[in-house]
Amino acid sequence: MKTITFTVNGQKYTREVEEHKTLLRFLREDISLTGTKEGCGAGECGACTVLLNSKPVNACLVLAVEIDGKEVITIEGIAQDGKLSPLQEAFERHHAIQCGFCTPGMIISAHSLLQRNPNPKREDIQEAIEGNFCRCTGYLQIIEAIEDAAEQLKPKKSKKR
Amino acid sequence: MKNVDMKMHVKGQSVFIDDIKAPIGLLNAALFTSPVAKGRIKNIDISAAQKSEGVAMVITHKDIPGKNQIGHMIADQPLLAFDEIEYIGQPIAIVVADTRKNAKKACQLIKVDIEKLEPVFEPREAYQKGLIHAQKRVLVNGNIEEAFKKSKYIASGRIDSGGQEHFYFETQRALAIPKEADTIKVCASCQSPGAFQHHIAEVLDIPMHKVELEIRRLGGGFGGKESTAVWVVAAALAAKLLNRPVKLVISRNEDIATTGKRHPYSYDYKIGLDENGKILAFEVFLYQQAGGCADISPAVLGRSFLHTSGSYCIPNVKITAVSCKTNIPPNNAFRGFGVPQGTFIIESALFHASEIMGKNIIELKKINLLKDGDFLPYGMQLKKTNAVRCWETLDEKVNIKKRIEAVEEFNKNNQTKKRGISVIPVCFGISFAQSTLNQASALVNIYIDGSVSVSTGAVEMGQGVNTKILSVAANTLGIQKEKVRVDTTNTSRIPNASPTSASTGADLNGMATKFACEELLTRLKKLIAKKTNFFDLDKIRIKDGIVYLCGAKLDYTWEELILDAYNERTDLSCHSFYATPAIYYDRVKERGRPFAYYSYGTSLTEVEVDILRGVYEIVSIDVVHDVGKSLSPEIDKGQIEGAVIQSIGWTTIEQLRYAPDGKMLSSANSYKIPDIKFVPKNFNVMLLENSENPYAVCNSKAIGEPPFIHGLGAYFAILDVLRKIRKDKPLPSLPLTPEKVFMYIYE
Amino acid sequence: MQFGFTYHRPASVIELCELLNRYGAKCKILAGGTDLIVDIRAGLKKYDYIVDIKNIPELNELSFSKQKGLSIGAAVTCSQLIEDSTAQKKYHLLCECAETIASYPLRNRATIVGNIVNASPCADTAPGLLCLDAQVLIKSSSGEKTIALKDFFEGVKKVKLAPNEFVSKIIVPPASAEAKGAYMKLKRIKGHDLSLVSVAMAVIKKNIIRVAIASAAPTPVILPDFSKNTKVDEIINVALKTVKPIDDIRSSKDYRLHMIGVYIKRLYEQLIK
Repeated sequence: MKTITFTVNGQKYTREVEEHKTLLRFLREDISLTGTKEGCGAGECGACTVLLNSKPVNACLVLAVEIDGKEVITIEGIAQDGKLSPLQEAFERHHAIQCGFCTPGMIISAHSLLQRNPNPKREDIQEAIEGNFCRCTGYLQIIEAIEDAAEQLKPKKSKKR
Repeated sequence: MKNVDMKMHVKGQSVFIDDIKAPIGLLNAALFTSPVAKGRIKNIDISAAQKSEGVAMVITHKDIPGKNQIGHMIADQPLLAFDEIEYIGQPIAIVVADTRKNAKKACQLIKVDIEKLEPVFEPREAYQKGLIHAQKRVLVNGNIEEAFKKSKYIASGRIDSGGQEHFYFETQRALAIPKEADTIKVCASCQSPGAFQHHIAEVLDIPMHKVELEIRRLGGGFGGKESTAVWVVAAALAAKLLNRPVKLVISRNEDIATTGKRHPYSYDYKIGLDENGKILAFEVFLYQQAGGCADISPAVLGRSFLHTSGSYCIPNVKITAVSCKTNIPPNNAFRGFGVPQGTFIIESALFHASEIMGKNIIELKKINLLKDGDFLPYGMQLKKTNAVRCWETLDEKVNIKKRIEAVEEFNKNNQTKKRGISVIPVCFGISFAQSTLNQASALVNIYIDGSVSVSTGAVEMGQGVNTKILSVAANTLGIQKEKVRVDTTNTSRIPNASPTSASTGADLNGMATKFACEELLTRLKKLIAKKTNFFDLDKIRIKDGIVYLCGAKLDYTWEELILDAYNERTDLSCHSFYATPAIYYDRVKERGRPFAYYSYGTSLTEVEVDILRGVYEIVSIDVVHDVGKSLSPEIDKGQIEGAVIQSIGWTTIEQLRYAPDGKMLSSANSYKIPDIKFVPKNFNVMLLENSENPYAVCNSKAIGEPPFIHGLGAYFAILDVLRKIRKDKPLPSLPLTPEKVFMYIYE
Repeated sequence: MQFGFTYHRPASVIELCELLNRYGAKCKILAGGTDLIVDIRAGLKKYDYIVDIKNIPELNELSFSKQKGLSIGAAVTCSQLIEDSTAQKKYHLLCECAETIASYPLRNRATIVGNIVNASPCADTAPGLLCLDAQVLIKSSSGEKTIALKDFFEGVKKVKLAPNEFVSKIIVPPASAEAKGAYMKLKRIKGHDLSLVSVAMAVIKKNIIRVAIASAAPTPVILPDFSKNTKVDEIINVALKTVKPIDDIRSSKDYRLHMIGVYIKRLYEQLIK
């Protein structure tokens, strides 16, 4: 057991953790944040994507002890004060979801993309999301949702005087 | 209307099996499975495992209180093997421990002594040895010998199609919680509430009324959770024996290695055309790679069998089909349920025939399309056929001839990159081919605050069936959608529910819901009549939660009405039942009307192949699909796009690899499914306009599986390129991986 | 995870050396973990001690100087390298290799040194590093030594590294800076996949052609230097005589052999012609 101090979705925690426990299981079992899913356990599918110090990583391949002193954002931390982010709204609007199991990881990766690149081209979206598999949608509605969210996030041009 | 679960999905708040808060005293189970493909168990030694850290119990066949049997169609599948071993991955013991880690650790301490026998992996070889599940099926229509004599062009050969891993995101899993008086509640990721409840009761030796199986939602199913009950029953058995809650979650690689897949097939075909290209005769032999137990394979085979004429009118046929027993995990249902394979063989045969005739395959397809009045090989006459309409609508949209010319032009100007094109028509029969299953019930409760709860036997797995049912209920009752909630699928509320499968979820359960709501509405209207002294019930309406008489709005809301109904002692709960009318099938004569109606579509796929490397790109897909009057265009469009991409995975890149001893080599790291870069640059889906369908709820049409057929277009578009390069060898097997494309050209 | 272990996070190279001396083969260094954790989870590997090196400042260094070239510390991730403008400018070929590794979330964890130490035959950065004549700096409590990358690989997943040693950094010499080069990787899908076969080609000092190939032998291989006027067919001939590809679940030997020729030709046309 090791004691670690870290932040998840803005909240600070100090916890004891088994050293072999992955961040994925730690979030789900110890912090009760079950939004992050295990899809493959091998870094292939991206269902477990979370932000670690603002960068997307596969939580199934990170040890919980490694987050000591670091900041984690999970899907539960994307909506602010219960209000969906423009990206989450766009996913809903474009029906970019079917079974919902890949959705949390998908949104985390897309969220990170829009932070890095507010004007992504289709190729940028494909590059950023290639690590997130979806078996249901065929991806088209996901691409459309991200494109739309980018559009929504653009600062509105001030009206001409 | 959009999928009602999405708001929770985007916040990570939707609860799947492994997200359910752990009940007190929860134990975790793991399966010990056979490392041998074919053999006989001599001894199982669990002594070391029993002593391993954290282990509560090691369960073998000896511990099963009831029947050790979970065969879906035939009683050939024990829950825990005790004698014969039929495949690698066959369950032998269940280890239950405090943690999953300890359960898995203990699994490694089990020693099993298996006498090895010679396994069979090739379906044709299995058939030669008499190893088949159920009966061989033969359907003859017309006079095949005469028709071949009359045929001007005849093509024949052998071809094969491969399997496909479901790769539903949520692997097989269940949570079982023992309750008072020998009852048990099981929360599971499965598609067959009725059948799985039955298996649990039989294995645990308790009556079905003591088993409550509950399903909230699935992280994908695609058929893979329809028939094989191993993981659900194993959790229930462990919970019962230990009288503690037990969870069983299998890992991705266990799931890939031990669960069923889409069936590989091998085919012999012979097709005859007249001088104009009209198909006169088609003879086909289907060898289905079924695996070690029958599972649901004979039913899948039956659907392939009934769809070998595809979208074409074929007057003379002889279809033979066998489900071959091979020593791999039992294959099971996967979106399309044999129809993709049935369609693949007629499309392949016709492609081959077009080469012999020297006529463009696309033109050849068009002249053979099904029309009203045509008969299918099993004697069903078609009405309201939309095959030609879909084709012509696509043609209007994309101009097929111009697209062919553009491809030819591209190929003239490019040496190392070549384009290919294919048009695929879809004709997909809707209904369970097993007539019994075409039944559903719904329970609609109205509470005194006016809120409505709907329960059906349908299972939500992302296909949006609950949303469609919600929409049917709200529209029928005339209230706002927010007032309606679709509850979990629960065997205590809805007994004997058929699997959510065969694309019939919304058709059957939606109709039962509609009936229940209509009955409730009639009760409410009678009350309104009594209160208003206006007795023409047809002129009483509820719209947006307000009562109207002869179109005039009353100052009378849904909530007030319901409260009045309660005070007047009106029954505000209604159970209703629906059975698809007028379907029947005679298995001896192989004649009947097995499907209520057909779903149609046509698509054009264009690919570009780098002929120096074998790699290719899907340049475009244009789809026209007939969904009747859509209950939700967003959901239906998503279903089509998802099915097409999943299908192109099957026809191009998804390839399962086995070791010579039958061990699955493919894993999460090596089995590739389509990713976001796979999406074609141009991907257009259009729903056929003005299509009505009197045979299903609110004129809609089933959507889950039929569009899967469009994905065959990728195979045939690549084939178009390959056959222009060389024709001196047989048609390549499906999937056409880049490597296969390369080898086809150069080997 | 099937097996437990004790986790250490040294803060200095001295501490790291002490741990390696104490535990030897019982311990394993954790950097990105994108291969290691997968193997441990699957029960394929078991270690009593895991030593996380990401907290050691000197191993996080990524720097360039005209005298020493590019220095990539053992904890430097693929993303760090790719996002470094100097690396992109001076060692474009290497960055191009790194960009083809897995997916963005994995590149945020996976390290360049890990890609090499892991010694997979399909390591994407290996062909680039080999072409650029990279050196490996190995340290232990008894000192340090530098060996050429091409001498570092011993076999599938095997490198010349004693249990008490670790790779502190990879150095790409200044002589290879601004070399013209490119990397071609054959995958089954456009998205992330391991290479079925891949080839890097570089033109060093404007007159030497260097070719390295991955997924075609037990280790990534480098061909002997060619002069600039060598015919492409000759390079292909040498390549095909050098490699020893196998059949596996991703690809057949034949497909790999064919593709080596195709890629060398394409690279030659792009870089030399």
